[in-house]
Amino acid sequence: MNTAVIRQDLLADVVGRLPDNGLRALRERALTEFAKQGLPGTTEEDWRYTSLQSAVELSNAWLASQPDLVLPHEPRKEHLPTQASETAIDAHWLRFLNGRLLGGALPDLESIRIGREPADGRGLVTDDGLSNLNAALLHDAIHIVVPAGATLSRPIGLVLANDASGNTSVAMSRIVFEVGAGAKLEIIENHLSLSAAASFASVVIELRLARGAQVRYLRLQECGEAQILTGRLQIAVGQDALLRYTSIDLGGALVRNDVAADLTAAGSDVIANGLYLATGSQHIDNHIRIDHRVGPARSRAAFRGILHGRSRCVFNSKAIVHKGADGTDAGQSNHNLLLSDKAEIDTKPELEIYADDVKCAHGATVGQLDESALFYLRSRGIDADAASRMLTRAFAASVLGELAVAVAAEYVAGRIDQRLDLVVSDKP
Amino acid sequence: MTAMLEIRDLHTKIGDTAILDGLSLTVNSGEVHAIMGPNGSGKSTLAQVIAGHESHLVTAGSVTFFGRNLLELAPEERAREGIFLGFQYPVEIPGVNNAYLLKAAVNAKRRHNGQPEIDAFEFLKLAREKMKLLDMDPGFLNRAVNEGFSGGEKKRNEILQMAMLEPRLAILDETDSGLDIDALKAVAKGINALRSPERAIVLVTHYQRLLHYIEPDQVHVLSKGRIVHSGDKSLALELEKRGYDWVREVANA
Ligand SMILES: Nc1ncnc2c1ncn2[C@@H]1O[C@H](COP(=O)(O)OP(=O)(O)OP(=O)(O)O)[C@@H](O)[C@H]1O
Ligand SMILES: [Mg+2]
Repeated sequence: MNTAVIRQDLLADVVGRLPDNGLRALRERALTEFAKQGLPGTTEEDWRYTSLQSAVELSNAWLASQPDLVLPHEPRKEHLPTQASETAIDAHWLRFLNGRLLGGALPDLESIRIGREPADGRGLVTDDGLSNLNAALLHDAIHIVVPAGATLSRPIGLVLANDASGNTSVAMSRIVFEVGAGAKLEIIENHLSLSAAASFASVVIELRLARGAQVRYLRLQECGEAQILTGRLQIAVGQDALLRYTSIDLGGALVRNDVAADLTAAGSDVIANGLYLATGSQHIDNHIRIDHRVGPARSRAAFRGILHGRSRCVFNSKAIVHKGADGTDAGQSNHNLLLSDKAEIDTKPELEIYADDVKCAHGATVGQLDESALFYLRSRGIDADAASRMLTRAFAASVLGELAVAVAAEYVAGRIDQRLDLVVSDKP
Repeated sequence: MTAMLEIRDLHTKIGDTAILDGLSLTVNSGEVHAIMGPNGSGKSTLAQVIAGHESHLVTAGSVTFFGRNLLELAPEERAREGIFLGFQYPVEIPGVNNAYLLKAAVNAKRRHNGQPEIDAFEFLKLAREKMKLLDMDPGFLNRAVNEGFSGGEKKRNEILQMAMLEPRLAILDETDSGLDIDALKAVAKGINALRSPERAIVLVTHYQRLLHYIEPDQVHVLSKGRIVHSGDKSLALELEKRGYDWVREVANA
């Protein structure tokens, strides 16, 4: 149970003071919906292990502070220093600071169109309280349209940076990708914190894949130690569409990421893999939901976790094979490496099957470093710490080997290594 | 002269089970020893205790290496001091590259000896040279450590590691088991290449055939956790003909 709730009066006041940029009506609708829903509490099955209490407290304090940063003023490029990912990965980078796209004029990126409000407003108001809170407080909503048949020469990169040093401890962002028939697109979503102060960011991204569209998507979360981040990726997968998705969680205090893929036509193929690395008192929760509504189609969710310190991670992936979705091939797996006996993982790969002709498998493991492998390495002169690092890296390697966006592989490998060094040398 | 390896009245336990039960053995530089004995007699236990496996508890006795108490050293320190264990069952380590491990092992030893680390070019040259000697495909360098290797390939890989590390004391636990005739010859070649007046080799084996290629100075029979009989190379032949019952009778007499 959440003992605290978002103060509706304060929220309504702030929503009313947000700039009138075409999102106003949507914000008001979202606010009304949110008033009925509130944020999910730990009595809800999907939120059993993850409490948003700290996000609520931070939000109330922020709302009560009469934040003047909600007044319309255009954030400029120089407010956000160039990030390492931008330098290392050749991509069309779109830079967001506290949920707002930097730079006045929208860039032209090859054949794609970028708009500020969703053309149709579709999907902005939902039955999900968290998404409605996000919608109610939006400055910007970015709409990216990739025309049918287009192929981009480079990925679209999103730097999503949070800076809580001013009075900006709550930030919402919303992006919709509309990928036309047969179009090919790579996307990189890079989450960062610029300051050590506590902040709460909510990111909702929608991905609509038309027939035969192919999207390779990397989420790289490198938030700071005091960052609360909730993410939602909602994917509509059209006929014969392909999605490769990789999620890498390296940072954050409290991180919840929801990926929901709706397979509404035959021939679609979705593979989601991921890695979460947690230490200290980090809490990282990954929820995947895949709805197979029509067969044949394939989906996979394969995540690995490395936990140290007193960290707590949650993995839940559910494939729902609806009635009539014959020819579905769904699989989920989750493997965890516990480096400390004080770390905790709650894992539940699930299948709900209402169709007859399906191929489904799921499994989860939780284990420690293999003692015999450790001894083998040490017997070759490798010291115990280095041997642990080697085996921990090896455990993570299979995710890297199947990274959805290949051009980012070297950068991501470096970031994982850096973080692993820190995590492995941490004391429980 | 100080012996290279001096084991005195060694007693060990794993859990509550006593395994080694008063074992003594002396190995000098330049020597080759063969240790034979029935299944479960404690041969691998002995090898692992020397290498520093932590699940074996030493309850009595001593093990010294050039006069130094080996039992107080961590497994990696023993390795850097020049002790090499060829595993009876080499461990598969998915995700760790074979070349990466070899190089890390070589460098750990070099650092220990105050030498500069080996550079990538020099390392490859050395590895290729040793692989040629062992008739090993260089492709094995790029694979994960022992992952999916056949039984014989794993044993050859152990010998490759040994050849790269040039230990002072090599303990090879049934490195000859499961090898075809060509592999046995290649492995024997690798072991013989290491022989020198400064080094010693302990071969744990069930068969005379390896000793045909590598002549031992002494042959020991281990039974129920202790060495019950020792002799020269002819003992191995005799064991092959007459089995272990005969030794047990001699030992009990
Ligand atoms: N973890 C363990 N728990 C209990 N007993 C063990 C354990 N490990 C080994 N042992 C026992 O110790 C004894 C000696 O085993 P060891 O592996 O040293 O035999 P060995 O002489 O190498 O046999 P082999 O010729 O079959 O390789 C055996 O009886 C074995 O069952
Ligand atoms: Mg054995």
